[in-house]
Amino acid sequence: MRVKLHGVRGSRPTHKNSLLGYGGNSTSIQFLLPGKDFELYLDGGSGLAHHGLRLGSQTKNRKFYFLVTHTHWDHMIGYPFFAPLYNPNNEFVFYTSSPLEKDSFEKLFYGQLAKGHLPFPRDLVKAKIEIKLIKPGEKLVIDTDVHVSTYQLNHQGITLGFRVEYQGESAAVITDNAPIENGNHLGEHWKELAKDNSAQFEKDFNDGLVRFLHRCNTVIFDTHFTEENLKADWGHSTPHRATKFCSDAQVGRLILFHHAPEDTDQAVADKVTSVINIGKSAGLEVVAAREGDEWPAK
Amino acid sequence: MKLKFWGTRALISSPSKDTKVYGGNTGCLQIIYDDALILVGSGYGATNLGEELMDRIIREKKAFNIHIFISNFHWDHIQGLPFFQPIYFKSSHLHIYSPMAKSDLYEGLNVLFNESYSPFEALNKMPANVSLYQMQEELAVGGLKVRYVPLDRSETPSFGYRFDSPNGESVVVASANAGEENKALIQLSSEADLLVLGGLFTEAEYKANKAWGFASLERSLKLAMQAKAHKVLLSHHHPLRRDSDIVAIKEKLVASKDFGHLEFDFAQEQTIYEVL
Repeated sequence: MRVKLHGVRGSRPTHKNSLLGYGGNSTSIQFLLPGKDFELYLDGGSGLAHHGLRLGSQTKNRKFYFLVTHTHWDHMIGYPFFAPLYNPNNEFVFYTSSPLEKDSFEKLFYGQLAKGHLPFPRDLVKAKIEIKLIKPGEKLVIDTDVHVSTYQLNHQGITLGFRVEYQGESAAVITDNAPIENGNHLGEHWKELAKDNSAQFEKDFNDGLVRFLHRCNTVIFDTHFTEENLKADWGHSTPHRATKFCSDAQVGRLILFHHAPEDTDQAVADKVTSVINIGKSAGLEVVAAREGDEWPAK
Repeated sequence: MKLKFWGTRALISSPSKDTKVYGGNTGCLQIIYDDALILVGSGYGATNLGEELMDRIIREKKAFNIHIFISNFHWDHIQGLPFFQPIYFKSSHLHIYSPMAKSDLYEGLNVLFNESYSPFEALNKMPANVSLYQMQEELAVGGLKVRYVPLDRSETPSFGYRFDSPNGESVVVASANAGEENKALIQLSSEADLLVLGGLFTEAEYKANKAWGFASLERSLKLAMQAKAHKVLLSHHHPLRRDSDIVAIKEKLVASKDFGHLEFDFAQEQTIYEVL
């Protein structure tokens, strides 16, 4: 299995000469599964739009699975431009737990196609679409031997981390996850759930995430901020936090991801430098996500 | 008067080394006149302007009045607003204009701040002071006279704007113009010094995508000739067009001789265009 990075930027896509080395498109990741005749993706940021426009609407008779982490714009704006959606002979399955009690993924997905917000006719989307609601922590099996597990992250609403296992290899994606400390509980209802024992809640979350990532081959982790500019209540992590989780979990490779839109290529490279030796001492390889790159899940 | 494009791209941002010259951010254009900060569109391009203003907002404690004209609610024309950093500061005052009813303008923009799509609650809960205005016939903003016309798009109300300076310079911005002849837009663009029109499709692409309603490059240039505009900038580039594709299309248009002596070019991000 390999992971392909179609979009690595957080918050919004951005284009400036100083950051095009790592890329300006927002979150889109593909899991390349040897021997499978379906496709597996995570999220639909602007990186997915470009991949889809290149695939074109002539792409047909294919099944696409999407793992939906959450519905913030940077993870959603690419869907309407994923041209295989326009072909009636394609099938789509979206796995989402977003947000159960408020706007459903279905409403938000079609909301993007609403009249007045896109210039093309709404009925352009002709593929068969199935939206499967999952609970945080739920495990899925796709096509008998692709195993997917989920973990709710410390971010607004209900945001899921995903771990994919196939042929004995594993890759996980932790997009959007803030340090949980000092009552910084961002998940829906978490403040209420944690109110009687905040410290235990935080410890349980951190221990749970380490277990979730245990011995994972390749982990793509939100490192939007640095320790110096961290705004914990914005819902994002840092290279040091990501390295700590991955070292504790005996992960093989950490890919720094969800680069802040203000981050120049130099700033991203500096993030790697800031933790590379900490990682090395724990046997962890640390690299930065660069648009277009593919990494093995081993 | 001068123009600066912060975003030139249609539909979706196209950040890439292959779009360095013509740009990769969705639509946002700045009208530079005296000290006024005037934008047409708040696509993702606006966020790069926002980043540049930060230093003055934080260190110099500068309070900005920012005027934004909305041409329609297509995502690529508005999606930068929640990420336009001045909106996070109480010192900022955003003035947002459109000929639509204020309630429609609010609703069309507020979806960007929906708490499921964003970490925010609502447009009117943002720290900046945000004022909405329903434009009547004519308006004075930052020393400029502003007028508008509907762009005759059937799927959604869209508007083009004309800015006239007291010393007689004029700019018309209508990058969401439709393919069918629009007499009102021709009239509004009459003798304009600089006319910004849409260039999403070539004529062949236009014919294959008529339901989208955007004019072809050729139709935009013909409109400019009818209006006797002095110079045209084509913006709203297709997301898949690389710099080399745009250059090739431009060379073809120039070689066709269909557009007489009309002076035209494709808009580049970050380039400052003199109106005269």
